[in-house]
Amino acid sequence: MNYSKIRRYRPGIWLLLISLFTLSLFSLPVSADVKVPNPSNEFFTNDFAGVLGSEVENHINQTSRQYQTEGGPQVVVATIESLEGTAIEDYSLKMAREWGIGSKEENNGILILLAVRDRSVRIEVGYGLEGVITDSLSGRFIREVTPQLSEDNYSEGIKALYDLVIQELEEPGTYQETEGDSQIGLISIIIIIIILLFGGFFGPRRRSRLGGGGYLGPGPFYGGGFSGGRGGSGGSFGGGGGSFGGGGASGRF
Amino acid sequence: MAERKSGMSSGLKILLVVLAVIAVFAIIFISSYNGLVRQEEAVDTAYSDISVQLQRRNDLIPNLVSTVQGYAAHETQVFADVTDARAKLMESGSIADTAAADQELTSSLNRLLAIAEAYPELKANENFLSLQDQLEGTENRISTARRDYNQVVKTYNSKIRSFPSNMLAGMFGFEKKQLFEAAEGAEAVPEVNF
Repeated sequence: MNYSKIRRYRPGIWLLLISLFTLSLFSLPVSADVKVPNPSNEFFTNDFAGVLGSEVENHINQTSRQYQTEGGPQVVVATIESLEGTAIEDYSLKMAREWGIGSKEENNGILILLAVRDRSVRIEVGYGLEGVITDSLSGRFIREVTPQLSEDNYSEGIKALYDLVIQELEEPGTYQETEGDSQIGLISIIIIIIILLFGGFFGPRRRSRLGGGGYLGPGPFYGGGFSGGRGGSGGSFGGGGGSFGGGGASGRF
Repeated sequence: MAERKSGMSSGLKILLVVLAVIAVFAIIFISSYNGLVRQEEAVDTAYSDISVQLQRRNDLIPNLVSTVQGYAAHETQVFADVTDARAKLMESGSIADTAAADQELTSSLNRLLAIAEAYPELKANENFLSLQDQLEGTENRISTARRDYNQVVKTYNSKIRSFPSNMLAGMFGFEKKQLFEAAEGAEAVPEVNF
């Protein structure tokens, strides 16, 4: 007789217990820094500051779209008016993580961010590409386009920066070869000669960065639990949930 | 016969109710325990991310110092500061010590980079620029890793204090984790100059 009473209340109690428990699982703290806009429908170009010419946008969209269809890295460009007082490193990391640029498996996302009024630019590199687009390469790319940016040639500057990144992704090491500075260039030439003399040969993905020891690419083994969000939204393009750990470089112009 | 049958079935019902309650508690217990294990692991992973980046920066420093020395050999104080802070960081044991040493090293490295501003030739040196990029990138990664770590620690710490995982945390010795930040006062290392 008593059980009938218990049985009557039991579902309620269970529900309560279970919902309390589930609630306690999901009460994650929310980070309350700057608010990052949602990506555009195009996803690859997000010209919030309105400084990119339409042919540049088309170029970027086409290239990046083709890249992604082929399963390559995801390279996204964003321009904003202002960082609203945040450091560009924090802003771009937040943007890259929220948008989930790059695939979850390979963490192969890159975000090129231009903050017009702050006169800063940054290349944010996903975990999986830190070995290809190293910090010092990112820095060099940015220095190379700084003259264009400082003359307010944003469209051209960003296109040049984008092309440098794409070029490097397609053939890692090419920038080093054309632009090699004295010491590093000499050392790599000597090494190349030695290796050639001893009959070795390079694989297609040689890493020719020799400066600044101990810095050969961390692979995707990092991949901690910080994936950026939404999964692949079928059909259209969007972020795949790639992880970022703050790799890349920033510059002012 | 009818009496016995109903007696059996009500006994069975009690048993079922008891079993169900035990099952519910067991499920809560297990999933909450597993959740704690997972989060503790996330904290450890996040900490090792910091360590990896701290190590990466430590590896960069000798190169950077010797490059700057080539142009500004007489700025001995800064070089000594950087070397000391680096050594301190490598020896540090506790998280608070490491965080304090990290802070000290960051500020002495900033001073080192500030020197470079006064030497145009150094600033034009591609090798220096590359090292500077790497150092800035690593500093940025450290601060990212630190923020991520503190975030998971906060989640973990609030979890072990909230019901029902607090009971398990007590039983199985899940302890509060330290945030990666210098203990109060530790960052203000008094500078003694005689």
